[in-house]
Amino acid sequence: MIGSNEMTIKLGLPPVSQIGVVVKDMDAAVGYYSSVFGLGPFTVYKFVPEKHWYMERPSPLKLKMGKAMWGDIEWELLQPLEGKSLHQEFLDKQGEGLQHLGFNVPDYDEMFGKFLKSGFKPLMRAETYIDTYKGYLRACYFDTRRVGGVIFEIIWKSWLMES
Amino acid sequence: MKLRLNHIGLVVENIPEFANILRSLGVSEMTPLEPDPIQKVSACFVTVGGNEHDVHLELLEPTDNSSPISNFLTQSGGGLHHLCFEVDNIDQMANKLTEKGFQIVCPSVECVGYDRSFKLGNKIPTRIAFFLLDNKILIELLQKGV
Repeated sequence: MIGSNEMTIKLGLPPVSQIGVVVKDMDAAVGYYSSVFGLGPFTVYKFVPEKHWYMERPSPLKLKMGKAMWGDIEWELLQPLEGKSLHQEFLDKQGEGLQHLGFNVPDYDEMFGKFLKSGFKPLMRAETYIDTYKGYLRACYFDTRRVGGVIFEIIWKSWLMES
Repeated sequence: MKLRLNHIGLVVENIPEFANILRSLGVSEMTPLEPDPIQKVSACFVTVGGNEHDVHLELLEPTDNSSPISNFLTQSGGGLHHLCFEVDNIDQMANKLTEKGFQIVCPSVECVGYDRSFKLGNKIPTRIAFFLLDNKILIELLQKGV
């Protein structure tokens, strides 16, 4: 390894905690991953955030989400239902597939500021209470696509902070 | 079928440029660029989180237009490309996937670039194989060399 530096790592991204997959049909996708890979159980719910911004403009959103743990990684299935979303754009352009990498962060505001300072623009962000988990979520997709097409998401979940 | 995620493959136009993006986010641990003449790619591995047991990112760049990842880069502009799962017996798992009807993209081949990246010093090289899922997700199987 090159460039090891304890301070840099402390300030840097935490390990990948989520892989986001855009799907057309949640029931079919859950059935597929459960039967072929033994993944699950999946928690499936409708995600209708109290606050949502698309390209920094307030915008209503409705997604269907399906989540299961694959070892330490959360496997997140996303089916767009209503509203402008990167997921619908992804489906329209590329079809189903791997869409983003998510990072659970302990300090959302600090990491949000760090991304902004590094020149990355927010693409979509949401803040909401999620009844399924009895906790609050803050999350933001940043436009990290410029030389690789990869979207990074930072995620803060109150229920992880409490555990 | 239990599979352990080893790394996530990202196809990028230019690895040094993407590495700079990661550095700006505080990610600094990267293996040197290694060529893989079989897959016609240059690759390096990135440790995000600073722990060697965390899932790595593999950055991939085609070395010429006939590389298997060239079309992906041209059509999508790059991005999340594959998920790699480590297995104990790649032939056995490849047979299982074939029986389940998965499309084989690349049969089991040696991947000395992986061994060089992690300085494994093994006598029998690491082997990899690629399969395509129904929903276009590409899966790599990896059996570490010994």
